[in-house]
Amino acid sequence: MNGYHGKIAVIDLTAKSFREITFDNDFARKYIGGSGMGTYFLLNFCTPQTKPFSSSNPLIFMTGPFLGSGIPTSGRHQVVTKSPLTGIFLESDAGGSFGFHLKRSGFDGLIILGKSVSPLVLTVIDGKVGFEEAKEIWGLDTMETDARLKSLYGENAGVSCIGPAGERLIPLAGIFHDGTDARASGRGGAGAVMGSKNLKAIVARGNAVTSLSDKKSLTELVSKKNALLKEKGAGMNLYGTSGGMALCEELGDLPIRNWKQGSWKEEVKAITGQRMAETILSGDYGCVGCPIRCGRVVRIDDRNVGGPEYETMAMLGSNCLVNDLEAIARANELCNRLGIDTISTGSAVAFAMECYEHGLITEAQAGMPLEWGSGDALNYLVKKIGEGEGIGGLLGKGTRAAAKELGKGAEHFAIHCKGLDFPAHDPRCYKSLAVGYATSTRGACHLNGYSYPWERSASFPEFGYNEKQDRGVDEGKGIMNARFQNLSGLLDSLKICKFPMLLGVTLADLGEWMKCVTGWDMSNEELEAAGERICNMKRLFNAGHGFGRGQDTLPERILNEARGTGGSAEALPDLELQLEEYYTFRDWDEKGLPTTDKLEELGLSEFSRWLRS
Amino acid sequence: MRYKDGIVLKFSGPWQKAAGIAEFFFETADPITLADLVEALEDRYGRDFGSHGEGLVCIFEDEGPRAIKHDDPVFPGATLLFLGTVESG
Repeated sequence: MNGYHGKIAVIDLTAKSFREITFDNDFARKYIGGSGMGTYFLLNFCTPQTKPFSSSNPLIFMTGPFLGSGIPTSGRHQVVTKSPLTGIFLESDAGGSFGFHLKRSGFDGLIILGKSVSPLVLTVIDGKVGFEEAKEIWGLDTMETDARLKSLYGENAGVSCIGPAGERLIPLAGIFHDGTDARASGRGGAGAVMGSKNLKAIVARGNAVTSLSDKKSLTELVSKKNALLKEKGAGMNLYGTSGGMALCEELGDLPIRNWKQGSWKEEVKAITGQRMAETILSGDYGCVGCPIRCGRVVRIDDRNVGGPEYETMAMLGSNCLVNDLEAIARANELCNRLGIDTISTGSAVAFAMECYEHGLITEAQAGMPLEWGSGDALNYLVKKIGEGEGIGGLLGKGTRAAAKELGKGAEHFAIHCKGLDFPAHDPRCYKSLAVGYATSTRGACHLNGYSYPWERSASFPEFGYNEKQDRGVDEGKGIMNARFQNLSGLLDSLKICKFPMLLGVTLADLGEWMKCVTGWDMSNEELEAAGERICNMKRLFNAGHGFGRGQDTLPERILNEARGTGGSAEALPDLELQLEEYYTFRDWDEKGLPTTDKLEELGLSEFSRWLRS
Repeated sequence: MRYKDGIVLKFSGPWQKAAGIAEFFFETADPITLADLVEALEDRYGRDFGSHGEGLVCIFEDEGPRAIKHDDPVFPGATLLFLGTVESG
């Protein structure tokens, strides 16, 4: 079998034992890897009754066929589980190097079940699984944990770990990789699921390689594409993703003052990637196999650590009216050390500041004034959230739960879909994000249906988008986002970054690479169909939890309140129009669910029980 | 050695839109500052050319891109990228 080991470890932390599941070419071609295989196993190992913190909730780490092949940006992996933040489907894609090390260990993935009675480190080394005591590292932050484990297992090991927030089961906790460079499976609380299993870290290492069908041709193709990506991605390399901050502000995309304010033209200049390059930037960082290297390294307080990317800069910065670059960089480091998602944390801080403004949270409750724009308040709240103390105990539950507890209209300030806070792109600016966020299976997510770049600058002729689409138009966006959801489902399964698709990689390229890796001839249609199958599987999981059309909605502020000023001053999305288009395109029924005919067409009839759950 | 007698300019995004082409070979045997180069390009493509995009111009070398300032000299043989949108993730 080319491209895969054909082997997944099913690990029982309660019994400290493991077994292997093997799979064949047919299975691999159908579910691809990453998101696809992860969701397949989630549908098989989890039920609607499984509680996120129960020992039977599977925590799944999956790689993909491209890992280890040298294909650009293919060093990624996927974490899949049931979310403690939302109670529904969760997947979280991460870059860095852990996926590469996991595949080199001899497994395509891990399915982790059970719960250890005491803190544990799982080792996956050269096809063997081991269980080591972790009492001495319990309580360490993610960077300390990474350093300690690498000193024990070597620099050529990959470490995936949680920080104190995951240990304390804080629903904003993520899983972190690569030490000070801090790559994360950040969203939705996978770190808290790991903490609930008393699993502090996973160490992966090995020399296992998978065979390639046509290594020579792949090397030639990759070499050409790497050169292209290096050139087209030069701006991202120079300035990181926060090099787009000023443009996002200009277009009316940037979240400002908890999504309430339209423009911030002068202030934003202090927190752009360009400003970072002139001040605190000390280097760049690339995930395994990436020629772009958009990651930032910054020097603050005499330390070199991972710097804020766009999402972080926007959510901890402009969304809280903080334009102090060093304060944001410190808050980013603190999030990474404590092991919490910078996006949801930024959303929680902005929520708290707005509640404070309206008297729903007092200074006495908070422990200090929570004024808009205060870098001190930002860092104070980040620490409280990550440690689960004081006001942080409330905010760490996520804005949906915090608003419910506070009452008195606080729900209006909680900007989320299905419990997952908005990332830093506005559906009022890019209309396709309205249906994208509303239907995204893990909650509000710009990557689940990565459509907005094609409303900003890029073209994608293979989907018929020969030029950039009008971002202010609703018509056609239901179909557009559905197709890019299919593409994201595929990319998250191959385990490749989405950026190459903006910089000149095509669906046909993916097909050629797939042929070189596996030997399979997959047409564009088959590749997109694989993505569609994966999207339907994810939808099924949520359907089993009673989720359908009724939950496909957006916050009141986004649906009915215009930004007022800036590049999207008067724009509001017509979500209903987009949803109609979306469901029709997907062949889903009036409840927004896959039909049994659709499941049969996609080869998913075995999961139709999830519709009846 | 035509390449040594000038600078390869690659335009993206709004720069490309303003210039109407993706690539241009700017003939010069001598170093030229970025400011003077942009001025020369404004003569060719119109006064608005320099105001397009985010003002992002870099030298593209084997080891990757290197940002340059307006007063920095650009030497014949170099490749300059006029960057379009920096993707924001």
